[in-house]
Order: sequence, then C-alpha cells, then structure tokens
Amino acid sequence: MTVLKLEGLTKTFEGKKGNVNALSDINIEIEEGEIFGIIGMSGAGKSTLVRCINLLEKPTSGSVVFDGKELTTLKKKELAAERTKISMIFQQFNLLMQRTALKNVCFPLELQGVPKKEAEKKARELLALVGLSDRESSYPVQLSGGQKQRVAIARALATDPKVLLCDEATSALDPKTTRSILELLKDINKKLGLTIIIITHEMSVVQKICGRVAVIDGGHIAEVGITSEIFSRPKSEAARRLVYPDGQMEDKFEGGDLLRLVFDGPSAQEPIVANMVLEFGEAVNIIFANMQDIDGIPTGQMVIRLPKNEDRARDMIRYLQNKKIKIEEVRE
Amino acid sequence: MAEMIMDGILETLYMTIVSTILAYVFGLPLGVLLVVSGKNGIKPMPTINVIISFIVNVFRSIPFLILLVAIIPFTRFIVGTMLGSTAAIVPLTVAAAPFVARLVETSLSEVDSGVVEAAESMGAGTWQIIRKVLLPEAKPSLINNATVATITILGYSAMAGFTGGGGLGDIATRYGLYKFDTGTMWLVVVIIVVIVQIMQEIGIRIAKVTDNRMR
Ligand SMILES: Nc1ncnc2c1ncn2[C@@H]1O[C@H](COP(=O)(O)OP(=O)(O)O)[C@@H](O)[C@H]1O
Ligand SMILES: [Mg+2]
Repeated sequence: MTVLKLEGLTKTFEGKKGNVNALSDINIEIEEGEIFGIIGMSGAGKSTLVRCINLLEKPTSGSVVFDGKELTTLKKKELAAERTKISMIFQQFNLLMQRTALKNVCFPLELQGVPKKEAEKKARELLALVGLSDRESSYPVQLSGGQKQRVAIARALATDPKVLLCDEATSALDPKTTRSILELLKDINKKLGLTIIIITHEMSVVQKICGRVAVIDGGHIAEVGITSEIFSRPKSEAARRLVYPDGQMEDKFEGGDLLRLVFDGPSAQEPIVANMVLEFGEAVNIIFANMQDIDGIPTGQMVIRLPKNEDRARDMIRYLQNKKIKIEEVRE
Repeated sequence: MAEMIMDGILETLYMTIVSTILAYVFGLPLGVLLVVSGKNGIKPMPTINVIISFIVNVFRSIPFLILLVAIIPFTRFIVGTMLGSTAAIVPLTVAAAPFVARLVETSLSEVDSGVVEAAESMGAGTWQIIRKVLLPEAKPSLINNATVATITILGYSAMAGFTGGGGLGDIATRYGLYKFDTGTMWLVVVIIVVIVQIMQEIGIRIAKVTDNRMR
C-alpha cells in the first residue's frame, strides 16, 4: 500500500537575486513499511523535499498525499494532526536543551495533551527501545551524539507515527555510531513496521539500509529504483557520481581497459579475482573496491584494470563471465 | 541620618522591583510578539512587527528625564499624584518596558531554530511553541537579561528623584548637588554600587543553576 505519494511537486524560493528552483516535478511513491532512501549531493534539494513532505515548507505546486489525504489543502489544525503521524529526526538532533531525555520524549505527547503519568510511561518504554533506559534523567549536554540521536528517535516514535523522516540523521556521527543508529532504524522498521525515509548524501548509508532509493540532482529525480540495482548499474550521471565518489577512480598505473565487476549473491563469497590472478599468473590492478552487506546478501563492486595484452584481457573477461559475474567496461 | 538612608534604600528597592515587574508585564509579551511576528518568526506578521518595532524604538529614543516630565499628566491620571516613589513607578515602567521588549526579543532569537522546527514538525501550535519551547529554552538568557533590566531601572530610579521620586538617587542629589555634603553623597553612591553588585551576583547565580546546558 502506498503511504506517501508526491506528485508533480515543485518548490521555488523567491529571492532578491532571482528565484531558486529547489525542486522541479518530483514524483515519488513510497510503500508502507519500506526503508526508502533519497540521496543527492549537497544543495540537491533533499532537505527542501523532506520539508515539503510534512509541509514545513509549502510546495509551490504539486501534491503530497499521505495516508490517502492531500496535505497541501489542509487547514492548520488538520495539518498539525497529520504531522504527528509523520515524525522527523535531524542532523543536529534538535533536542530541547533544558529538558531531560525523558522530558524530551514526553514533549510531543505533552503537545497532544496526554496526561503526564501516561506520557512518562510511554517515554520510558521508548527510551528502553532505543537502549537508553539508564539515561532518562540526563540532559542533552550530558549525552554523546549517538545517544542524542537515540533520544530524538524515541521522541519521534512517541506519537506512533506512520512515517519517519530522517534528514541527514547520521551525518554528524562517526562511522561506528552511524552503523549503530542505522541498525536501530532497521530494527524499528522491522519491529513496528514503520515506513522510514532516509535522506543522505552518503551512498554507504543507503547501501546499508535502504531497499529502494531515489537519486536527486539539481532538484530533479534523476532515477528511482532498487538500491542494489542503482548501485550496480547507475544509469544517471548523478547516480554514477555518487557510486564513484570523486577521485576514487583515479589510476596512475599503465595498463589495458578498465572493467567493473558487480557482485551480488553467492559469487561474492568466492575470492574470484584472487583465483583469476593465480590461474593466469598475471596481476590486475584493483582501482576501486567497495563491498557491502545489503539485506543479507554480500554485494559490491570492484573496478580492475586488465593487462595490456589484449588476448590475456579477453581470456580474463571470459573467465569472469563463466563465473557469472556481471561485468561492464568502464569508459575513461 | 541612618534612618533616612535606610528609607532611601527601601524606596529604591520598592521602585526598582515593582517597576521591573511591571516592565516585564508589558515588555515580555511585546518581546515575544516581536520575535513571533518577525520575518523568520513562527507566525510572520510584517505589519504588526513594523508597528511594534517602531513604537518600541520611539520610546527607547526619548531620554528618561524628558519622558519623566512629559508623562506627568499620565502619571497623575494613574496614581493621582506626581510625587513620591509610587508615582515614579509609572515613568520607570513606561521607559523600561520597551527596553525589556528588546531584551526579551534578543533572548528568544537565540533559541536554536532547529528546535523550533522540530516542534513544528510535531504539530505544535504557535502558542505551544512560545510556552514550551521559546520561553523555557531561553530561560537562562532571559534571567541574565532580567538582571540587566533591573540594574538599568535602578539607575533610572535615581533620576526619578528629580520629580520628588525619593530613594537613594534623590538623597545623593540633594546632599551632593544642593548641600555640598559630599560625604553623604559618596556614602549613598557606595550603597548603590553594593546593591548593584548584589543584584548582578544573584542574577548570574540564578541563571547558572537553572541552565541545564551547564551540567
Ligand atoms: N529558505 C530558502 N530560501 C532560498 N533558497 C533556499 C532555501 N532553502 C533552500 N534553498 C536552496 O534550495 C536548494 C536546495 O537546498 P537544500 O534542500 O537544503 O539542499 P540539500 O538538503 O540537498 O543540501 C539550494 O540551492 C538552497 O540554496
Ligand atoms: Mg540538507
């Protein structure tokens, strides 16, 4: 079932120095219970898009249909009610600095007029869910970045939302903490069936957690699809730039053509490149490698430079084809 | 003599404290309105914002002594007389409220806009954001600025002696300026300095212990 549908969404900021078309003709459908990624470079329009979803920003045109309701035409009161079902977490956590962890989680319930006792009971359960039971009376300054984001997640879950929007929620965190927060989100997605939308500029975040992803570039959706497919065969220029971040394709070695190997499924478990090198007795240069675990399947890609000798190169390609590896020549 | 100075201290404290409270009664809502109705506020209302801002600026530009004299009819209308400490509270409040409004505006604008946005994303209304986000999050800064306001009003209250307002300022002026009794004058000045010091210290302490960012 579709929980969120964006249709022909555009957003233009009017400024003194002219207008900025931050979003143009965005069409996305997000299914209930999925973890959907929105990836793009800085300035691509990700934050604007996510802010248009809960109407913190009013779209210039187009529609936002959430749970069967058109949000752009709702009155203020009705919109406030819908917003409690679309929670949001942020890069800077945005906790109330003068409130304890527990009181931060109580905050959205207080807004709804839930009695204090009841709110605190729920808040405690949620702090337990995010693994922070022992820190309920800590103030945000006393918590690490990862802990603050956990409190923010607990707070976001307090109103039993249908959708959780995460705008660069891990971008201020170190890799280890990022991983643990992503694990937590995955966990919550499984446990509660919550739809999660992950906004990020980092491919690795999308790879770790998102089933589907939309690539946004210059306010346009460049492509939408299953993460592993976009990752293995990026069609758009924007997606390609994200899959191969700057500089990682540079190659100082002499040699033949570049070949991209895409591993998904069982083949990744066998050390194919190593075996190939042994079999041919000739080295290949690994220019770029990135292996990830996507939904339990070892997935990844590697770019290698084939030997100059064309016959040898052709034999190697045939070897890899026999091993059922997806290969693709890379244009330089 | 000692009795006169004691009375002076009490009168000064009375004028200062009551005027400060009244200045906040009017200034706090004005300050909140300035922030809320501002361009980046939670409920932008450009016309209201410009009007309030203009009125506040006008009152803040009038030198206190002139204001004191200019509003004598108004003071008489409210209190029934223009003499005494109670009468002085009227001009003190009129002069301080716009100042307080600006102080409150400054404190509230320091609140992280991300936190306000988070509250909005949870469906918080304007009033809820003011009460549950802006004011509590700005509390330490509000308290610090309240100290500034109190001390400024104390300073103004000295001038209220001019129209028979009483208090320490009145004594210092009478003895120093008219009777050339500089000894008494300096004694009174020292007392004022001590009161200011104590107020400042109390203000800083309260701001500190109530600030949960300082743990
Ligand atoms: N309030 C605003 N006023 C004017 N321009 C804005 C505003 N917010 C964002 N923009 C512009 O819209 C574009 C997209 O910004 P944003 O959505 O923040 O990108 P991202 O989150 O992908 O980095 C940028 O060019 C930015 O300068
Ligand atoms: Mg952004």
